Formats: sequence, C-alpha cells, structure tokens
Amino acid sequence: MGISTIIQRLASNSRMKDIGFYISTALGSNKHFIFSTPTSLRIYQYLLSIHFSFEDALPSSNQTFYCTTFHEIISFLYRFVYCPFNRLSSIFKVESLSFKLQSHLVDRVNRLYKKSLKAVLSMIFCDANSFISSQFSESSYIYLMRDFDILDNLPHSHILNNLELNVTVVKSDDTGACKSYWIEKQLNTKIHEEYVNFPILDCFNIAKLNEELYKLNLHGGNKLVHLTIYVIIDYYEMLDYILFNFMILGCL
Amino acid sequence: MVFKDKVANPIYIEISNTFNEYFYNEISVLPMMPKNKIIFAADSIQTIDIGTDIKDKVQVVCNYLENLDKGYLDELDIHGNN
Repeated sequence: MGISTIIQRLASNSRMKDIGFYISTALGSNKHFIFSTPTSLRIYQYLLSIHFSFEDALPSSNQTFYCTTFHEIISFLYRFVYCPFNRLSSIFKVESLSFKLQSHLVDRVNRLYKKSLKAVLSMIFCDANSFISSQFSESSYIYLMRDFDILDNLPHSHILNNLELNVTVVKSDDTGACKSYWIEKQLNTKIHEEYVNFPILDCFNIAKLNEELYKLNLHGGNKLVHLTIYVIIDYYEMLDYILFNFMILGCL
Repeated sequence: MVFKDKVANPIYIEISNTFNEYFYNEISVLPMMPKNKIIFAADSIQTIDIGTDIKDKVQVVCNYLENLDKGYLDELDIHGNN
C-alpha cells in the first residue's frame, strides 16, 4: 500500500475532513448549535459544509442571513420558526452587531427554544471571545462549538464540482500575464452578444455593482461577464458576501 | 432579488496577482470555485499577438526596450502612440 493511499484513507476517516459531517454526527438529535471560527476566511466553506451535511443541498438565500438591524434579525427568526419544513437556517457574522442587538438575539433565541422548536439553527461567528459567544455559553438550548481552525481546507469541493457553475476564476503566476487578454479571447461572437466588464476597485460602489448585475439579466446565456478584482483593502468581507450570494446562492 | 435558476452566462473573475496568492485566498469564495485557470506569464508572452502597426502599444514598448538595450535612446526618435 502506497503512502498516498494511506493518507487518502486517513483523510477520508478523519473528522477533520468535513465539519458538517462532524457536527451532524456529534450532535445527534440536539441540533441547535453555534459554531465559532477564529477567522472569517472560511465562513462560507463551513456554511456550505453544514448545509450539505444536514440537508444534502445548497443553502437557499432565505436560509442564510447576514443581519445588520433589529428588524432583519426578528424577521429572519420568525421566518425560520414558522417555516413548515424545519429547514436548517444560518446566521453569520453576528458578533459584528451592536451589543444591544446581540442581547436581543440571545433573548429571542432562548425564548423560541423554550417552546421546544424542531427547526435547526446554526450561528457562525468569527470571534469565539465575543460578547454573544459568552452569552450563549450559559444557555442550555445551544451547543457551542469552537476552534475549528485545523479543519481541512475544501471539504465540499467535490459537491461544488457537480453544480455546473459557469464561473471561472482566472489568476496568474506573475503580474502582466495577459489575464484580461485571455478572457477577451474567450468571447465567441457567434454565441455571445455582449461582453461586459466590471472593474472592482477600492472605491467600488456595492449598490451600483448590485444594480448593474441585476440589469444584466444573466439568464439568457448570451453575455460574457468579466469581473476584474483589483487589489482592494477595505471591502474584503462585503465583496466576499456579494460573490457568495451571486455565484452560489444565485441572488443579489 | 433571487434567480430562479443558477446564472447561465459565463462569468470570468480575474483576480489580481499578489505575493503568495494572498489576495486570492483572502476572498474565501474564490478558492471554492471548481473551475480555475492559471495563466503563466512565460507562456502567454510567447503566444501574444503583436500587431504590425508601428503605433501599436506593444510595438511601442518593444521598440523602446530594444533601443534601450542597444543604447540608442539618446540618438533616435522612438515612435510614440500618438
């Protein structure tokens, strides 16, 4: 048996392979959990992994939520509670809310679970030492999991391979390697009616980008869309969120 | 707005080159995409289509570099793109 075979077998049996699988087997029937990661880099990977393990499907846009206001939190929780299918719902980046909103969220979730909910709620943080994390650690309704930074990098890649996403990420080993030129060469005038280029710079306007993508009507299959992401400093997380919504959840 | 189906149009996301692919890894959605195209600068320079027009941008740069190598820059007028 070769060393590569041994490593493959070890990896396939390891709990580190797939966080969603680990959570679903570790929790059993107790399915209300908070999941804390020390870094924001892998939030979407964990989110997909959890959804695939529980539901064997991609999350939809109304199952995942990035809350910013009190009304959004309440509407999300009620939508989650009264959903007839007991689907898994996820809130992420809750530690970026104000203390007041975090307290409201803790209070509402505890109140809802007192009514013996059957739905599955996951919450994902980046900061295990955040205020809301300490609040939920005292709750008997929520199972708090933390420190999963040692997990495997891409447990869900085999799933995404089957999704037939029509998205290609173009990168290069050096600057000036003609990436734009290569993309422009992919334009086939017999198939594509239009070539659309969106440069994303440090001063990019999120609302404008959303509006432009919306106007494109991307279901016709006759446009070639080229997003150029230059090195930006300020809007990593928002860009990550928009791209996740746009490419994987299929919404804006 | 929610799409009824997944996006049908081909989308190409070009990501700027940074040291150790730092920027590519920082946007966590990008490494998740199954289709990745890595362009090697050494290969693409071999295949680049340089126009024969003397005012072509690539021609201007090549002309400049050639004359810089030969040390003729102080003696010759280089064709500019104007």
